[in-house]
Amino acid sequence: MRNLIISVLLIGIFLIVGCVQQPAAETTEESVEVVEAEVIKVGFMGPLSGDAASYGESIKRGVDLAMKEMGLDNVELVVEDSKCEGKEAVTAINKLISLDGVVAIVGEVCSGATLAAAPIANENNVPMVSPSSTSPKVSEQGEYTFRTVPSDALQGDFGANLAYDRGYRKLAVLYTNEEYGLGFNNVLTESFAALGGEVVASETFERGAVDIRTQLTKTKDAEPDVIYIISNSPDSTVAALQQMTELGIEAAIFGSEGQKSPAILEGAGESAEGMVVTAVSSGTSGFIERHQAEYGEAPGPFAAQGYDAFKAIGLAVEQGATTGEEIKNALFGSDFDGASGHIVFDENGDVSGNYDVFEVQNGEFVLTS
Amino acid sequence: MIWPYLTHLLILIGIYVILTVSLNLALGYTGLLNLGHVAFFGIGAYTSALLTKAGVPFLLAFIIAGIFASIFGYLLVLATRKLKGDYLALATLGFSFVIYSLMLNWTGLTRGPLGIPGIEKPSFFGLTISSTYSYLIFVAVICILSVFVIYRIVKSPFGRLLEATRDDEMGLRVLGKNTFKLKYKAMMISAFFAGIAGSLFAHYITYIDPSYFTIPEIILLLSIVIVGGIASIKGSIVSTFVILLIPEALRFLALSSSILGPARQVIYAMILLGILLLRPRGIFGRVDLE
Repeated sequence: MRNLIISVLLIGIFLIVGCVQQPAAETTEESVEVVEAEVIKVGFMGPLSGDAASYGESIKRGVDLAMKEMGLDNVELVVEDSKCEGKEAVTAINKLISLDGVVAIVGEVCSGATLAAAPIANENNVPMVSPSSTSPKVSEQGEYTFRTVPSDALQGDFGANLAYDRGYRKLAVLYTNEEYGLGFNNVLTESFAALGGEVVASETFERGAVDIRTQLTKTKDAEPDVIYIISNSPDSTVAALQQMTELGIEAAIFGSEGQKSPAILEGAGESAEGMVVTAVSSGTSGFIERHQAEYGEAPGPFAAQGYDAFKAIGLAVEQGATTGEEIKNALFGSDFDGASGHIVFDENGDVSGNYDVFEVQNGEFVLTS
Repeated sequence: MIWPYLTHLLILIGIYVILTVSLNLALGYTGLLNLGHVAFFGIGAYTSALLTKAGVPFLLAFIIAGIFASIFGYLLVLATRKLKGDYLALATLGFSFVIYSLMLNWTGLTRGPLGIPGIEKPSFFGLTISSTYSYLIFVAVICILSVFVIYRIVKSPFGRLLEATRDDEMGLRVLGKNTFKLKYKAMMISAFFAGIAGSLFAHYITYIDPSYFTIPEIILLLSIVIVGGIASIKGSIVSTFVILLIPEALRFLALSSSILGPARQVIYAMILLGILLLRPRGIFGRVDLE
């Protein structure tokens, strides 16, 4: 009997949480409700908790800014936390499409999650515009998957050329053992070798690892003149930089775009000095100023790409697209100057690369080219 | 339309019911504090995905996924036969890490962190399960069959021996029973069902990578079993619904998007704590594990 009471109670909790709160949710959505026009819902899914949450937050700011500037009063943004995990992303996209009836989605942030959600977007004819999934495989996910960030295939090549042009010939790579790191490393090492340089070490670590001494010791023995860090985990990068200083490694340090994070400057301090970071564009000067004015901070990673992802969808809606299919068709015709550069999607839904080069000088990222 | 979303959740719940009920067989009924269940899940997922990619028919790959996981179950018990309690827990946790590392680093076979994309939907006897509705029916059939089989096992004389192994292993050995044999049999059955759950998961999500089979997943499975109650099939089933649906219900809370991520997790944790404070042995728990 007691068991029964408890189970009834639990089911009650659900129903209360599930049903009673639902009307309340609608009144606090982030847009101004308009009576006459039909409301078009656009979804946002990305990590708002977990170790990649800082990317999700920064992208969300870009999206919010775009939404505010465009002033589309018939568009409503529905936000879901998908934690950068495949299973969560599939749940979130199902919820957004079937329950909220979104016609387009900004997201996911991580490549693995985007790849898991893409088949569902295709099946339901809902375009997904990822602001930050850089895996080359995202290109092959069908016509409903777009992104406003260039594929790793482009950045690896750019990084290899940059290091070679600066006169470095012996490259060591330190990358995270995940989709992103592995893909980037493959392109980087191949391009560098093709240019005539030598790849003397290529070591890997787990995302979030904070003891990288073993890999660094091996790297040190290989005597590289430049070390390229590919990571999307600020904690690991801070550890790697500090431990390089500890071990007395004197090679030049390059980093992928994930390294352009204030957390790394704070954490690593002196050790980060002189690090060169290749990053996808952090935004035009106009965008940076407007972001600064709105949030009192410089844009975080991929904020500009988030802005562009929403803007591309917003422009499609402005042109009168109301269904997923119409938005997809309009996206293929997109041609505008966004926050990260000129946005034109090719037949795979990819954009061409706009990269910046930063150098850490006196504890700050300074744009060098 | 709410149905595609609910269908998706029910499919996940079906897969997790198989996983947690089978975990309960080893952990609750037999008293093997097994933290390696997620490895069997992963082995099943990878085996089935790789076999169908190589052209093996789905049903065969599905069965082999279970059998393959089952073999690993035997090996795990064999390797840890002298351990129990906390020590067994630690050793089986190690087993999860070993399998995870294999998936991550044996890139020639598993493509490592790149994962396996484009796993095909199941097809057998000339029909392909492509829509999520038919997949739900398929999962429901397998789930009911699995739960039924495990239910019959725990209610059989063999099941009583398993419970005796948990409560008084020494006593059972005095009576001349081979407890090692009981343990590996229980573990093999448990691993078999985890393996087929893995296969169901892989062919549903169609993209797997090693990150699915790590610590957070172990914690999820354990909390479902513990919240449901040790050695209670009914408990595991109810608790799977509760634990998988609470975070979904919380999606509808009127939270501002700036605190949405963390707030959902805090509330989720508080509900779990609340359940365990009210029912220290879980919702339908009967026994304590030492």
